[in-house]
Amino acid sequence: MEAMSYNLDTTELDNIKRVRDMLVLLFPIAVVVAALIGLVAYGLIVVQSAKEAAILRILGTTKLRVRCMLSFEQISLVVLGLLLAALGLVIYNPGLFARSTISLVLCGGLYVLCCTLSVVIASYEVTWRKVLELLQVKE
Amino acid sequence: MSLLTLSNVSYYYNNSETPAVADVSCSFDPGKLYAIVGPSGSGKSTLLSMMAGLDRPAEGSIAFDGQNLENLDMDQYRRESISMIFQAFQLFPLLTVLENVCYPMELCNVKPAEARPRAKKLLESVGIKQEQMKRFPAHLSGGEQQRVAIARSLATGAKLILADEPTGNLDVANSKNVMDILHSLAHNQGYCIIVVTHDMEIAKAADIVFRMKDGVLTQMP
Repeated sequence: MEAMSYNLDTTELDNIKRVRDMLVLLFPIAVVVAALIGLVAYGLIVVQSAKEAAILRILGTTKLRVRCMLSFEQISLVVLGLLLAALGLVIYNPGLFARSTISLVLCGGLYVLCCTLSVVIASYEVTWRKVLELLQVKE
Repeated sequence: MSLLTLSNVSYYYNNSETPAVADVSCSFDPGKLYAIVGPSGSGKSTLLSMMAGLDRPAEGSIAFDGQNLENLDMDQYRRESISMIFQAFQLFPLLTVLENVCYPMELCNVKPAEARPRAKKLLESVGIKQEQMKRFPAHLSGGEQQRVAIARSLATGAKLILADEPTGNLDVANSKNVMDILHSLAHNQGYCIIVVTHDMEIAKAADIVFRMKDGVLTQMP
Protein backbone atom coordinates (compact mmCIF):
# COMPACT_ATOMS: atom_id res chain seq x y z
CA MET A 1 0.00 0.00 0.00
CA GLU A 2 1.33 3.33 -0.98
CA ALA A 3 2.05 5.70 1.91
CA MET A 4 0.08 8.95 1.82
CA SER A 5 1.93 12.18 2.24
CA TYR A 6 0.37 15.50 3.18
CA ASN A 7 1.85 18.84 2.40
CA LEU A 8 0.16 21.41 4.66
CA ASP A 9 0.63 24.98 3.50
CA THR A 10 1.00 27.11 6.66
CA THR A 11 1.99 30.33 4.93
CA GLU A 12 -1.30 32.04 5.67
CA LEU A 13 -1.20 30.93 9.28
CA ASP A 14 2.40 32.12 9.63
CA ASN A 15 1.42 35.50 8.23
CA ILE A 16 -1.40 35.83 10.73
CA LYS A 17 0.96 34.80 13.54
CA ARG A 18 3.51 37.36 12.41
CA VAL A 19 0.89 40.13 12.39
CA ARG A 20 -0.34 39.03 15.80
CA ASP A 21 3.20 39.01 17.23
CA MET A 22 3.81 42.44 15.79
CA LEU A 23 0.59 43.79 17.33
CA VAL A 24 1.51 42.27 20.68
CA LEU A 25 4.90 44.01 20.42
CA LEU A 26 3.42 47.32 19.25
CA PHE A 27 0.59 47.48 21.77
CA PRO A 28 2.70 48.56 24.77
CA ILE A 29 4.58 51.02 22.55
CA ALA A 30 1.28 52.51 21.36
CA VAL A 31 0.07 52.78 24.96
CA VAL A 32 3.27 54.56 26.02
CA VAL A 33 3.09 56.95 23.03
CA ALA A 34 -0.58 57.72 23.79
CA ALA A 35 0.27 58.33 27.44
CA LEU A 36 3.12 60.66 26.46
CA ILE A 37 0.84 62.56 24.10
CA GLY A 38 -1.68 62.88 26.92
CA LEU A 39 1.09 64.07 29.21
CA VAL A 40 2.14 66.87 26.86
CA ALA A 41 -0.76 67.85 24.59
CA TYR A 42 -3.42 68.69 27.16
CA GLY A 43 -0.97 70.69 29.25
CA LEU A 44 -0.07 72.72 26.18
CA ILE A 45 -3.74 73.41 25.51
CA VAL A 46 -4.11 74.73 29.06
CA VAL A 47 -0.99 76.88 28.68
CA GLN A 48 -2.57 78.37 25.56
CA SER A 49 -5.56 79.36 27.70
CA ALA A 50 -3.31 81.56 29.85
CA LYS A 51 -4.97 84.73 28.61
CA GLU A 52 -8.46 83.56 29.54
CA ALA A 53 -7.11 82.54 32.93
CA ALA A 54 -5.66 86.03 33.37
CA ILE A 55 -9.01 87.66 32.51
CA LEU A 56 -10.72 85.40 35.05
CA ARG A 57 -8.16 86.41 37.68
CA ILE A 58 -8.70 90.10 36.90
CA LEU A 59 -12.45 89.63 37.33
CA GLY A 60 -11.80 88.26 40.80
CA THR A 61 -11.94 84.52 40.25
CA THR A 62 -9.78 82.71 42.80
CA LYS A 63 -6.68 80.84 41.65
CA LEU A 64 -8.22 77.57 42.82
CA ARG A 65 -11.38 78.14 40.81
CA VAL A 66 -9.41 79.08 37.68
CA ARG A 67 -7.34 75.89 38.04
CA CYS A 68 -10.49 73.83 38.49
CA MET A 69 -12.16 75.44 35.46
CA LEU A 70 -9.15 74.85 33.20
CA SER A 71 -8.65 71.29 34.42
CA PHE A 72 -12.32 70.32 34.31
CA GLU A 73 -12.68 71.58 30.74
CA GLN A 74 -9.81 69.43 29.43
CA ILE A 75 -10.45 66.34 31.56
CA SER A 76 -14.11 66.26 30.58
CA LEU A 77 -13.06 66.43 26.90
CA VAL A 78 -10.65 63.52 27.41
CA VAL A 79 -13.27 61.39 29.16
CA LEU A 80 -15.87 62.25 26.53
CA GLY A 81 -13.41 61.23 23.79
CA LEU A 82 -12.70 57.89 25.46
CA LEU A 83 -16.39 57.18 25.94
CA LEU A 84 -17.08 57.94 22.28
CA ALA A 85 -14.21 55.62 21.25
CA ALA A 86 -15.57 52.86 23.48
CA LEU A 87 -19.05 53.36 22.05
CA GLY A 88 -17.61 53.14 18.54
CA LEU A 89 -15.92 49.84 19.40
CA VAL A 90 -19.10 48.45 20.97
CA ILE A 91 -21.04 49.24 17.80
CA TYR A 92 -18.31 48.01 15.42
CA ASN A 93 -17.31 44.82 17.21
CA PRO A 94 -19.14 44.00 20.45
CA GLY A 95 -17.25 40.71 20.84
CA LEU A 96 -13.85 42.38 20.69
CA PHE A 97 -15.03 45.00 23.17
CA ALA A 98 -16.19 42.29 25.59
CA ARG A 99 -12.90 40.38 25.28
CA SER A 100 -10.69 43.45 25.78
CA THR A 101 -12.65 45.33 28.43
CA ILE A 102 -9.92 45.03 31.07
CA SER A 103 -7.17 46.18 28.68
CA LEU A 104 -9.32 49.08 27.52
CA VAL A 105 -10.10 50.18 31.07
CA LEU A 106 -6.42 49.98 32.08
CA CYS A 107 -5.21 51.86 29.01
CA GLY A 108 -7.99 54.45 29.27
CA GLY A 109 -7.24 54.89 32.95
CA LEU A 110 -3.54 55.44 32.25
CA TYR A 111 -4.39 57.97 29.53
CA VAL A 112 -6.78 59.88 31.81
CA LEU A 113 -4.19 59.83 34.59
CA CYS A 114 -1.49 61.28 32.32
CA CYS A 115 -3.86 63.93 30.96
CA THR A 116 -5.00 64.88 34.47
CA LEU A 117 -1.40 65.20 35.67
CA SER A 118 -0.49 67.32 32.67
CA VAL A 119 -3.54 69.56 32.98
CA VAL A 120 -3.12 70.10 36.73
CA ILE A 121 0.58 71.01 36.40
CA ALA A 122 -0.19 73.37 33.48
CA SER A 123 -3.06 75.06 35.32
CA TYR A 124 -0.76 75.71 38.29
CA GLU A 125 1.89 77.12 35.96
CA VAL A 126 -0.65 79.39 34.24
CA THR A 127 -2.04 80.82 37.46
CA TRP A 128 1.43 81.59 38.87
CA ARG A 129 2.30 83.93 36.02
CA LYS A 130 1.95 87.70 36.37
CA VAL A 131 -1.56 88.55 35.23
CA LEU A 132 -0.92 91.95 33.67
CA GLU A 133 2.06 90.64 31.69
CA LEU A 134 -0.25 88.10 30.05
CA LEU A 135 -2.75 90.77 29.06
CA GLN A 136 -0.44 93.50 27.87
CA VAL A 137 -0.05 94.14 24.18
CA LYS A 138 3.57 93.78 23.08
CA GLU A 139 4.74 96.98 21.46
CA MET B 1 -12.09 110.84 51.88
CA SER B 2 -9.87 109.35 49.18
CA LEU B 3 -10.95 106.10 47.59
CA LEU B 4 -7.42 104.81 47.04
CA THR B 5 -4.35 105.94 48.97
CA LEU B 6 -0.79 104.90 48.28
CA SER B 7 1.74 105.59 51.05
CA ASN B 8 5.46 105.30 50.28
CA VAL B 9 4.89 102.37 47.96
CA SER B 10 7.97 100.69 46.47
CA TYR B 11 8.32 97.55 44.40
CA TYR B 12 11.38 95.58 43.36
CA TYR B 13 11.52 92.86 40.77
CA ASN B 14 13.42 89.69 41.67
CA ASN B 15 17.13 90.17 42.30
CA SER B 16 16.97 93.84 41.36
CA GLU B 17 18.26 96.58 43.63
CA THR B 18 16.68 99.31 41.53
CA PRO B 19 13.01 99.78 42.38
CA ALA B 20 10.44 99.45 39.59
CA VAL B 21 8.26 101.72 41.71
CA ALA B 22 10.06 104.05 44.09
CA ASP B 23 8.47 105.54 47.18
CA VAL B 24 5.18 106.52 45.56
CA SER B 25 2.65 108.42 47.65
CA CYS B 26 -0.59 109.74 46.21
CA SER B 27 -4.34 109.51 46.63
CA PHE B 28 -7.25 109.14 44.25
CA ASP B 29 -10.67 110.63 44.93
CA PRO B 30 -14.10 109.60 43.65
CA GLY B 31 -15.55 111.68 40.84
CA LYS B 32 -12.22 112.37 39.18
CA LEU B 33 -10.41 111.12 36.11
CA TYR B 34 -6.70 110.58 36.62
CA ALA B 35 -3.99 109.84 34.09
CA ILE B 36 -0.61 108.32 34.70
CA VAL B 37 1.73 108.94 31.78
CA GLY B 38 5.20 107.67 31.15
CA PRO B 39 7.31 105.71 28.71
CA SER B 40 7.45 101.92 28.52
CA GLY B 41 9.29 100.40 31.45
CA SER B 42 8.73 103.40 33.70
CA GLY B 43 6.75 101.34 36.23
CA LYS B 44 3.19 102.35 35.26
CA SER B 45 1.89 98.84 34.86
CA THR B 46 3.62 97.62 38.01
CA LEU B 47 1.91 100.43 39.91
CA LEU B 48 -1.42 99.51 38.31
CA SER B 49 -0.84 95.87 39.21
CA MET B 50 -0.40 96.80 42.87
CA MET B 51 -3.49 99.03 42.81
CA ALA B 52 -5.42 96.07 41.39
CA GLY B 53 -4.20 93.83 44.17
CA LEU B 54 -2.29 91.58 41.78
CA ASP B 55 1.05 92.39 43.40
CA ARG B 56 1.94 93.44 46.91
CA PRO B 57 4.25 96.39 47.50
CA ALA B 58 7.68 95.53 48.90
CA GLU B 59 7.49 98.65 51.04
CA GLY B 60 4.69 101.02 51.98
CA SER B 61 0.97 100.39 51.89
CA ILE B 62 -2.11 100.80 49.74
CA ALA B 63 -5.49 101.55 51.28
CA PHE B 64 -8.87 101.24 49.57
CA ASP B 65 -11.66 103.21 51.20
CA GLY B 66 -9.53 103.48 54.36
CA GLN B 67 -8.76 99.78 54.57
CA ASN B 68 -5.26 98.46 54.00
CA LEU B 69 -5.21 96.03 51.08
CA GLU B 70 -3.08 93.68 53.20
CA ASN B 71 -6.16 93.06 55.33
CA LEU B 72 -8.54 92.44 52.42
CA ASP B 73 -9.26 89.32 50.41
CA MET B 74 -7.63 90.26 47.10
CA ASP B 75 -9.97 88.15 44.96
CA GLN B 76 -13.01 89.71 46.59
CA TYR B 77 -11.41 93.15 46.21
CA ARG B 78 -11.00 92.61 42.46
CA ARG B 79 -14.48 91.12 42.19
CA GLU B 80 -16.37 93.83 44.00
CA SER B 81 -14.30 96.97 44.49
CA ILE B 82 -12.35 97.55 41.28
CA SER B 83 -12.66 96.97 37.55
CA MET B 84 -10.09 96.98 34.81
CA ILE B 85 -10.08 98.00 31.16
CA PHE B 86 -7.30 96.95 28.78
CA GLN B 87 -5.80 98.02 25.49
CA ALA B 88 -6.78 94.73 23.82
CA PHE B 89 -10.30 94.77 25.38
CA GLN B 90 -9.87 91.26 26.85
CA LEU B 91 -13.43 90.07 26.33
CA PHE B 92 -14.18 86.35 26.32
CA PRO B 93 -14.29 85.44 22.61
CA LEU B 94 -16.73 82.54 23.05
CA LEU B 95 -19.27 84.52 25.06
CA THR B 96 -21.69 86.96 23.46
CA VAL B 97 -21.46 90.66 24.25
CA LEU B 98 -24.33 90.35 26.73
CA GLU B 99 -22.82 87.29 28.41
CA ASN B 100 -19.47 89.07 28.73
CA VAL B 101 -21.14 91.84 30.73
CA CYS B 102 -23.21 89.39 32.78
CA TYR B 103 -20.20 87.28 33.74
CA PRO B 104 -18.69 89.52 36.47
CA MET B 105 -22.14 89.81 38.03
CA GLU B 106 -22.48 86.03 38.11
CA LEU B 107 -19.13 85.87 39.90
CA CYS B 108 -20.70 88.15 42.52
CA ASN B 109 -23.66 85.73 42.82
CA VAL B 110 -26.14 88.00 41.04
CA LYS B 111 -28.89 85.84 39.57
CA PRO B 112 -29.07 85.73 35.74
CA ALA B 113 -32.64 87.07 35.81
CA GLU B 114 -31.31 90.17 37.54
CA ALA B 115 -27.97 90.35 35.73
CA ARG B 116 -29.29 90.33 32.16
CA PRO B 117 -31.51 93.44 32.35
CA ARG B 118 -28.76 95.27 34.22
CA ALA B 119 -26.20 94.28 31.58
CA LYS B 120 -28.54 95.41 28.78
CA LYS B 121 -28.98 98.77 30.47
CA LEU B 122 -25.23 99.21 30.87
CA LEU B 123 -24.57 98.26 27.25
CA GLU B 124 -27.19 100.73 26.06
CA SER B 125 -25.61 103.42 28.22
CA VAL B 126 -22.32 103.03 26.33
CA GLY B 127 -24.04 103.04 22.94
CA ILE B 128 -24.24 99.32 22.14
CA LYS B 129 -27.40 98.50 20.22
CA GLN B 130 -29.81 95.72 21.14
CA GLU B 131 -28.96 93.62 18.06
CA GLN B 132 -25.22 93.84 18.81
CA MET B 133 -25.69 92.31 22.26
CA LYS B 134 -26.21 88.81 20.84
CA ARG B 135 -23.07 88.97 18.72
CA PHE B 136 -19.63 87.71 19.63
CA PRO B 137 -16.95 90.32 20.39
CA ALA B 138 -15.03 89.51 17.19
CA HIS B 139 -18.01 90.76 15.18
CA LEU B 140 -17.74 94.24 16.67
CA SER B 141 -15.32 97.04 15.83
CA GLY B 142 -12.47 97.93 18.20
CA GLY B 143 -14.34 100.97 19.52
CA GLU B 144 -17.46 98.90 20.17
CA GLN B 145 -15.44 96.18 21.91
CA GLN B 146 -13.86 98.76 24.18
CA ARG B 147 -17.30 100.14 25.02
CA VAL B 148 -18.41 96.60 25.89
CA ALA B 149 -15.33 96.33 28.13
CA ILE B 150 -16.37 99.60 29.82
CA ALA B 151 -19.90 98.24 30.34
CA ARG B 152 -18.37 95.09 31.87
CA SER B 153 -16.27 97.22 34.19
CA LEU B 154 -19.44 98.92 35.45
CA ALA B 155 -21.33 95.65 35.95
CA THR B 156 -20.41 94.97 39.56
CA GLY B 157 -20.81 98.54 40.74
CA ALA B 158 -17.11 98.92 41.54
CA LYS B 159 -16.29 102.56 42.12
CA LEU B 160 -12.64 102.36 41.07
CA ILE B 161 -11.83 101.72 37.41
CA LEU B 162 -8.25 101.08 36.34
CA ALA B 163 -7.63 101.45 32.62
CA ASP B 164 -4.38 100.24 31.07
CA GLU B 165 -3.87 102.02 27.73
CA PRO B 166 -7.63 101.92 26.97
CA THR B 167 -7.24 103.81 23.69
CA GLY B 168 -4.06 102.07 22.50
CA ASN B 169 -5.86 100.00 19.86
CA LEU B 170 -8.31 102.68 18.73
CA ASP B 171 -8.38 105.38 16.08
CA VAL B 172 -8.66 109.05 17.02
CA ALA B 173 -12.48 109.22 16.86
CA ASN B 174 -12.99 106.07 18.95
CA SER B 175 -10.29 107.17 21.42
CA LYS B 176 -12.14 110.43 21.95
CA ASN B 177 -15.42 108.56 22.34
CA VAL B 178 -13.95 106.21 24.97
CA MET B 179 -12.33 109.08 26.88
CA ASP B 180 -15.63 111.01 26.77
CA ILE B 181 -17.41 108.01 28.30
CA LEU B 182 -14.76 107.68 31.04
CA HIS B 183 -14.91 111.43 31.67
CA SER B 184 -18.69 111.29 31.97
CA LEU B 185 -18.55 108.29 34.31
CA ALA B 186 -16.17 110.14 36.62
CA HIS B 187 -17.94 113.47 36.62
CA ASN B 188 -21.59 112.43 36.40
CA GLN B 189 -21.61 109.11 38.24
CA GLY B 190 -18.81 109.58 40.75
CA TYR B 191 -16.44 106.87 39.58
CA CYS B 192 -12.75 107.17 40.32
CA ILE B 193 -10.98 106.39 37.07
CA ILE B 194 -7.25 105.95 36.66
CA VAL B 195 -5.98 105.78 33.11
CA VAL B 196 -2.45 104.59 32.40
CA THR B 197 -1.18 105.79 29.05
CA HIS B 198 1.90 106.90 27.19
CA ASP B 199 -0.16 109.31 25.06
CA MET B 200 -0.11 112.89 26.35
CA GLU B 201 -3.09 113.81 24.16
CA ILE B 202 -5.22 111.21 25.97
CA ALA B 203 -3.90 112.37 29.32
CA LYS B 204 -5.11 115.90 28.58
CA ALA B 205 -8.70 114.70 29.08
CA ALA B 206 -7.89 113.85 32.72
CA ASP B 207 -8.50 116.10 35.70
CA ILE B 208 -5.17 115.27 37.28
CA VAL B 209 -2.12 113.98 35.46
CA PHE B 210 0.77 112.13 37.05
CA ARG B 211 4.05 111.49 35.31
CA MET B 212 5.97 108.33 35.98
CA LYS B 213 9.65 108.09 35.22
CA ASP B 214 12.08 105.45 36.47
CA GLY B 215 9.57 104.36 39.07
CA VAL B 216 9.06 107.86 40.48
CA LEU B 217 5.57 109.41 40.31
CA THR B 218 5.17 113.18 40.17
CA GLN B 219 2.03 115.22 39.70
CA MET B 220 2.08 117.45 36.66
CA PRO B 221 0.94 121.05 36.95
